[in-house]
This record gives sequence, structure tokens and C-alpha cells, in this order.
Amino acid sequence: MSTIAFSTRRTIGLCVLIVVGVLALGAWWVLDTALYEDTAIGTGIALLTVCVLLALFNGKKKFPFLPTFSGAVWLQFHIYAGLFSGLLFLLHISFHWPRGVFETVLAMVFAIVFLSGIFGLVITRRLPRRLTRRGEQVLFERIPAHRRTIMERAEEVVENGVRDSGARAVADYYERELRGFFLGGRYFFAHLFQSNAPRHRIVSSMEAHKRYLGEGERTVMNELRDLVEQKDDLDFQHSCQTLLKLWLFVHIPMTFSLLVFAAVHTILVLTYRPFWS
Amino acid sequence: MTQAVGSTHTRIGAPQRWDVPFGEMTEADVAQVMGIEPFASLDITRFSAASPLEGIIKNDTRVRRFEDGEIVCREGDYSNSAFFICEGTVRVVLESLPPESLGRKQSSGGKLGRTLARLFQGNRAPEARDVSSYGPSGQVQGGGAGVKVFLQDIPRVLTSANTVSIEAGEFFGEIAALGRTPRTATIIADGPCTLLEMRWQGLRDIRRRSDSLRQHIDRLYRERSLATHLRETPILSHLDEASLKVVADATEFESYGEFDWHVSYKKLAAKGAAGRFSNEPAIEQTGHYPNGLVLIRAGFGRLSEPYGAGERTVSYLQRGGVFGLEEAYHNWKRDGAAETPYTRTLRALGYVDALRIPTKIVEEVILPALPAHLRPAPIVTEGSTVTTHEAGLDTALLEFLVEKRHVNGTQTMVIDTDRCTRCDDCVRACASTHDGNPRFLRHGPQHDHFMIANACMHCADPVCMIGCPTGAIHRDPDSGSVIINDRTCIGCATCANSCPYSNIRMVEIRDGHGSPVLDQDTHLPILKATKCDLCADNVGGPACQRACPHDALKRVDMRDLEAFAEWTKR
Repeated sequence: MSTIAFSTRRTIGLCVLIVVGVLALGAWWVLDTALYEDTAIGTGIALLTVCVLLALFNGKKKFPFLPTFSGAVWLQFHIYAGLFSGLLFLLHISFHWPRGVFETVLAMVFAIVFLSGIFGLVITRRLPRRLTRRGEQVLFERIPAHRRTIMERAEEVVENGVRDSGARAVADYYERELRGFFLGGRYFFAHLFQSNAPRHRIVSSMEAHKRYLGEGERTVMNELRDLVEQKDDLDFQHSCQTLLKLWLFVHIPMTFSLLVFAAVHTILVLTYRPFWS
Repeated sequence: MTQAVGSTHTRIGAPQRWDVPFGEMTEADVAQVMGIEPFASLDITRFSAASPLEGIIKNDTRVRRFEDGEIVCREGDYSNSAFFICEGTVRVVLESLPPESLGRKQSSGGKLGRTLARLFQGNRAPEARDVSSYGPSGQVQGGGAGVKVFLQDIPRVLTSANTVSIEAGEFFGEIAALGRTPRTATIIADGPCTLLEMRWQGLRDIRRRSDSLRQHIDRLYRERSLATHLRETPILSHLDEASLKVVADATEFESYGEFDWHVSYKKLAAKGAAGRFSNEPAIEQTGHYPNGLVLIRAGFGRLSEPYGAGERTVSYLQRGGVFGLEEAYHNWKRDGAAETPYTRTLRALGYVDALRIPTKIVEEVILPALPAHLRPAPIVTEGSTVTTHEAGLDTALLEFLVEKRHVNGTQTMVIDTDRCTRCDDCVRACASTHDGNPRFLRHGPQHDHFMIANACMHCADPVCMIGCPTGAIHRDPDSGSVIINDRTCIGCATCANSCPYSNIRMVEIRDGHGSPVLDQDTHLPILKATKCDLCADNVGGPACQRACPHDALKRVDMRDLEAFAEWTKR
């Protein structure tokens, strides 16, 4: 089977979304605006159905061995159905933010789930490229061990420098300026925004400090500089990979909250305004 | 055999090579086999005490009786055994038969049942095993010896198909067994016959210790492989039998590199490109006089051309590949112009078994009858600006794949790190499908944004199978996947050490309660080899690929580079 280009798939998906969206919007306009029908029940059922289908994606991941569609098919459905749910939501609330406390909370939860989904879509399409192009590819779980290895190497370089040259200028500088940097993850947000300012600052400081060093110590400093760059790349990997995992800690729990709120909302609606009445 | 000691450990005897014999050979069977040629004249003093000839016959062989028309082996099947005809005759069908007449059937619903059963499995300890199933037993492993399949409509097949007979006292099936390749022909019993089936580890040991048998098997190997290979080569497939015989008679056999190339590979991998070239013997070189066609019979060859101060890889050849056709055709049609030498260099990547057809035969027999669609494109000798592989693959990526020998893979796990979000859904899916034990590592060599993950590639040339003393690691007869029989694995780690890509892991097993299983004599942990089995029990194929939501992971068959190239350009 030939491979479908991503651009082609995206074009098809967007076209289908636009057609379905326009049809839904047209149907809603005819019913709501032209015929003065109550569309809230209809759009509510559709929205709830779509939300349940969207939530099943996470359930599918728990049972990957089941002979269902592939994860890629599920995600494509998740993306476009998720975008469509935004339109359904707007139709459901008739483009007016709800006023009741419960409905406001429900609407806010939906908005968080929707927006976090959009955010997730954007970062899962952008961050992997950045990760590929900077630093060594390290498994997330191995980053702390890798970080420790770099720090041990840095301290070994410093100790060897002290032993060989007898001078403590580099060791003092390391203790004062660099040890904290090597100890743990640094500049989380700067890395997310691809800012090189912290790295530039450290390297500039190291270069400036070289004027106080002898020839041997400068070599040590150069080795340290390489390790600083390695560590900085590792921090970049850590920041981006953390964000790629962290957004799901918002999206998924809020989805379950949404389903609970939506169930309560449905019960309340059916209790006080049965759609068959 | 299993002995519970204390509350934390289970102790069992260390698994041995012949714990699970190939079949139920009685003492009388062994004596009978030892009494017939060529086994009777083998010098038993040349066999080691650990693997005596009698032990090999007893444990690595089994006597099988076939009825008239019963299928002994089918074309395309993977197996790890060869046959010796004790009594009777078998018939080799030289043409491909329809699958239904060979009793091939679609996989049953058993897979679905096993898949659904996972829903009700509780959490198990890592690498937990049912240790009661280990230890000596008389059960037959692998091979499917218990199922009898008969050729459908024998009279019609025998009258319409081209067949040859093999009589008692001959071997067959040794090509597939020793070459790690699929069976090249279907073989049926021609009347009742008794065969000695020998797993390839036993055949290997006997070959190693008997010069006459080795020469005999090698002769058969060459003769039968040549006929089949020539017939399968597209540029020769149109020749009639007489022409094919002329070609076969003139064909020379050549071998380059080391058969056990994996032994030195890891050391070579640490060298630079120049160092590696020096260990890739040149079969033919750019600028040399083209003295024939080179057909690759086994292994891989690197095609390169001079570029700058080195060589640039432009393609690679594998089993069935032909080198020198363009030059031969050009020179044959040159019409008074100067002859063109070889335009590319062909090097052996590890090991190459090649056939050479002299230019004279090529020009007199092959080229005059070559159909128009098989004629090569004209050679452009000036202004060549080749930057991509013929299949459309980026040259640098091709260099990487060839350099690392990933071209060996038929199910290479390629991850596009530009799309991979590092979510590990693939790893979790793999673990869920294997009782909580992931069978690959989402990490590995990388070129640009393509990572070759540490997952079994199910190689075209699975060198991991070479040293396995029990045949635990073998080709699945149906799918051709390389899989490990956990019951017969003795944890020797030969396969793990042989795998050039470090894709086989040795694990310490545990019992059902999560306690380590120890050898009752040495008190050391019992090890088992583990690796990707392509989710053999899973409906829908490998869980890793199915689980990836971002289309970042694909199992790639490197024999189909065009499909791979298309995937890389999505």
C-alpha cells in the first residue's frame, strides 16, 4: 500500500471537517434562527457523543493488543473530531457564554480540555523537530543518570587540572559558578522558548575568566566549556520532553472531569427539561 | 526437576543443549542410523566428548516416515532442518504450486482468542515463566512434525509439473537449513519413504568433523542452489533449458568475505569508513575490464563509485542482484565505440556468495534473448551527478544504512524523530503484548531524523541463528520471522553475542511469584534470550507500529527500498 503524504492527509481531513462543520452550522442556523426550534438538546447529545468517542482514544491505549484501528487512525479522528467538538460546543451554547455557576464551570472545563488539546497538537508537531536537532537523543528516564555522568566528568576534569597545574583558579571558578549548573536541570522555561541567553551568559563568563588562567588551565576550561554545552543540550532535551509529557497531565484528567460534569449536566437537563416533552 | 528452596528462590537444573531432543530416537534407531552410509564411515574420534556423533544422531535427528504423496517440505517455508533419505524416494517439484494444493491455510482465530485473553491477565512479575515446563522431556520442538499434509491432486501435479527424483542415500533441504533461507522447492514423498530429519546444528557439527561429508554436502549445495538461483534470476528466466544449461556449465562460484561476518563486525563498526572499506573485499572495481556478470547468491554487496578522495555508496545488492549488466549490454551494443569498464565498485558487505557468468556466455546466450523491458538504460559516462539512490533514497541515509548493515533487516524498526513525541506508546504497547516485558529499546543509531531502534530486524541473513546449539532461535515456518522458543533456550547467550545490532537481550527469569529462578547446581540465575517476535500472537501485526499515534514508527523491509524512500518523503 502506498504511503499517503501528510499534506494530502491534512488537506482531506480539513476538507471533511469544513464540509461537516458547514453542514452542522447550516442545520443549526435553519433550526435555531429560521425555524426557532430548540437545538440545545440535539447539539448536546452530539457533543456528548463526540466527547465520549474522543475519550475512548485514551482507553484504546490501555489495550494496544486489541484488534482495533491503529493509533495513527485514532489520533487523526481525535484531532478532527476534537476540532469539530469546538464548533458543536459553540452551537450548544448558542455562541453565548453560560451564566449559571455549574454551566460556567462545565464550559470552562470544556474550554481547558479543548485548548489543552490544541496546545498539545501544536507542541507535538513542533518540539520533536527541535529535539532531533539539538543534542544527543536521550531517553527521558535516563536523563538524570546522563546528567550525573556529565557532572562527574566535569569534576574529574577539574581535579585533574588542579593536580597537573597546581593552581586552583579553575577549581574555585567551578565551585562558585558551575557546580550548581551541573547539579540539576536548569533554565526550564528558557529552553522551552529556545532562548540561548543562559548558555551564552555562562560561556561568556568562562571566556572572560580565561584571562586569569595559565595555558594548562585554559585547556581545562575548554574541556569544561564542552561539558557545559553538553549539559545545556541535555537540559533542553529534558525541558522539551517534560512539556511533551506534562500537557497530558492537564488534558486527560480534565477530560475525565468533563465527562463527569457532562453526565451530571445531562441528568439535570433530563430531569428538569426532558427532551421528549 | 523444579525444586523450591526457601521462600525467595526457585532452583532448577541449568538448561542443557539436548534437554529437549529433536525427536524420540530409540537406541535401536540410533544404531540403525549409525550403520548406514555415510554415517557408518564417519570417524567418531573426530567428534568432541561434549557432542559425540551418537549424541548428535540421538538428539539432533529424528526418523520420519512419509506416505505416498505426503508433503515433506513446501517451497517458501522456513525451516532449520535438512533431510537424509534412508529408504524410498522423494520427488522435487521444480515449479511453484498453488498454495491450496500445498495445504496452506489462513491463520485461524486462535490469535484473536489469545489476544482477547490478555484482557483478563493480571499483573505479572517481570520475565515470569512457568518453570514447570522446563527440563528434559521427550517432546518434539519446532518443525511441525506432527502434522501430515498431502499434496492435493497428485496425478495432475506429477503429470503437469516439472519434477525430479532423489533416491535413498542423498541429502536434501541442506540449502535452506544451512543458508538460513526459505525452502526453494516443494518436496513430496514418492511412495512410502523413511527420512532422517536433522536439525541444522547437528548437520553443522557433522560437516565440521567430516571432510568427505562436507565436500559431498557442499557439492549438493552448489549444484542445487545454482539451478534454482539461475532460474529465479529475472534476466535468465526467459532462457530455455538448453541455454540455461550452457549458462550453468560456464558459471563460476566465488565467495568473498567471512561467512561468520558478525564475529568481526562490532570491531569494524568502531573503525572509520576507510577502515571498513579495507575489510570489504572488492568483487569488482570501477575501471576494471568487465569480464562477466556477477550474480549475488547470498549476502550483501555494496555498490559504490569514486567520489572525492573516497567512495560514495550508490546502492547495494542482495540475493538475486546482478552486477555488470549495464556494462555488458553497453559493450555488446557499442557498435565500434570504445569498451566501457565497470562504472561502479562492488564490495562484499561481510559475506557474499556470488556466481560469475563469463562475458562470452553473456554476449552469446543471454543478451541476444534479453527481453526489451529487462535491457538496462544506456551508461552515461560523463557529467554524472548522482546524488540519490536509484530508489529515491537520500544518499547519506543509504550510506548510513549500508555502513551499519541495517540493510539486512526485513522488519527494521525505523523511527522518524521529527514526528516521535517520545510518548513511549510503542514501548507500552510492546510490553502489554508481552506480559509486561517490552522487547525493544526506543533508542539506537540515528541518521538525521531517522533512528534505527534496538529492535530485532528479522534479518534476511539472521546470523544470530548460526551458533544456537539447540535451535531455540529459528525461523517461523509460516511468517519467516526469527523467533525464540523459550522452552529450548538454554541461556547460553550465543545469539545475543552474535547479533551485530545488539537486539537480543538476556534476562533473568522469575517464577510465578516473582522470585528469581536459580540453577540448582551453580546457584546462578537462569537466563533466557528475549527479543522482538513481531507480536506473533497478536492480531494485526506488531503492536509498536499499530500503537504509534504520530505515524513516527514503521517496520521497514529493506528489500523494498522504494517503499521506504516513499515513507521518508511523506
